[in-house]
Amino acid sequence: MSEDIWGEYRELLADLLGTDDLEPLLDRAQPLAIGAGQVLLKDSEPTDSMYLVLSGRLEVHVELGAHAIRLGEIEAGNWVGEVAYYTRCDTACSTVTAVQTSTLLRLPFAAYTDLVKGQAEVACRLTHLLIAMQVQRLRATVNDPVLDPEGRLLMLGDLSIPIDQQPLHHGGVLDFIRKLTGIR
Amino acid sequence: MLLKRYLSTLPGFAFMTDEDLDHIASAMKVEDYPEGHVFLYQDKPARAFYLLLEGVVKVGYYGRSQQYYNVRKLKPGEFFGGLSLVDSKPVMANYAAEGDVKVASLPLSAFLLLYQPNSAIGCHFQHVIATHLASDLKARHLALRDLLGKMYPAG
Repeated sequence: MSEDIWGEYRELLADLLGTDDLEPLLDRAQPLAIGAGQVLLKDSEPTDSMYLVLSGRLEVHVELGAHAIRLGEIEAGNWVGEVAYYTRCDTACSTVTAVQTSTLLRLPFAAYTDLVKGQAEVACRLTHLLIAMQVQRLRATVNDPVLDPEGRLLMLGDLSIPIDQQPLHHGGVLDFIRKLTGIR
Repeated sequence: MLLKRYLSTLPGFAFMTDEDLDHIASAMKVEDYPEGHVFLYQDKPARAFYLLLEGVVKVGYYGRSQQYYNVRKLKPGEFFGGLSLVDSKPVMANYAAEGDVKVASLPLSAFLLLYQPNSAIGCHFQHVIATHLASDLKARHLALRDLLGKMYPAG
């Protein structure tokens, strides 16, 4: 019997997606381990996948030549690299580097398209999560960068959504009414 | 211009069925607006989801020092207002017409009905929103790169 390569992360994945039906995603994904300091994505260079952080931590910079602005960190339970998919440019819009040894789920763009076409419910749950993360990042990067005491430019917002604050389930009618009436 | 046909050409609508496009196009209202019309005000809630069809919409915001920054100009085919509708928080910038513009708008109530992911059209609509937000994120990163270029012109 073959070993379950996703074994220790199934609970996390089920929590994130709000379903135990993980195979449509996992059948199309691969695990990836990267070491501290290793670059996962390089600003403005080609990319073909998006990544979910299963363990460890990544940091994100926007770069121009030798200069950079640190946008923040991507913690476990958060995705990175999806902007290149949705904007169809297939180049990374930031540099993503492992802060510590990290385990990732790699989902190639072609596999995500296949998921959207063939497994709409799982894809929809995933899209819902990706939207929440994009909202978080847009809000986190709204202000101008600041200089830290060592002269490095950085953003003060938090790029990641803690696992326990992620949208585990779809909102349904109650959430719709809350939003319509402005009640939080 | 036939709105349904126009929507079908936009990247985020790649997975929409013909019926989906009918529903969305019929829920949107197309109107002309004059120079200076403000669609969204910074720090106020959005009440509609907008799609620029013709002309230019300029985006600007007041920074921490109350200085006004012009950050971006939207071109036809770009959406705006989605972020505030998704998270029910205020808009982060002002969106105003630069010259005469034609804009399609989807009212908040229709947006929230479509944004429910418990239906095929809802899932397809979420793809539209994810595409719109990704485009905004990419623009944000480009703006930050431009800022770096201004701070370090020698490279």
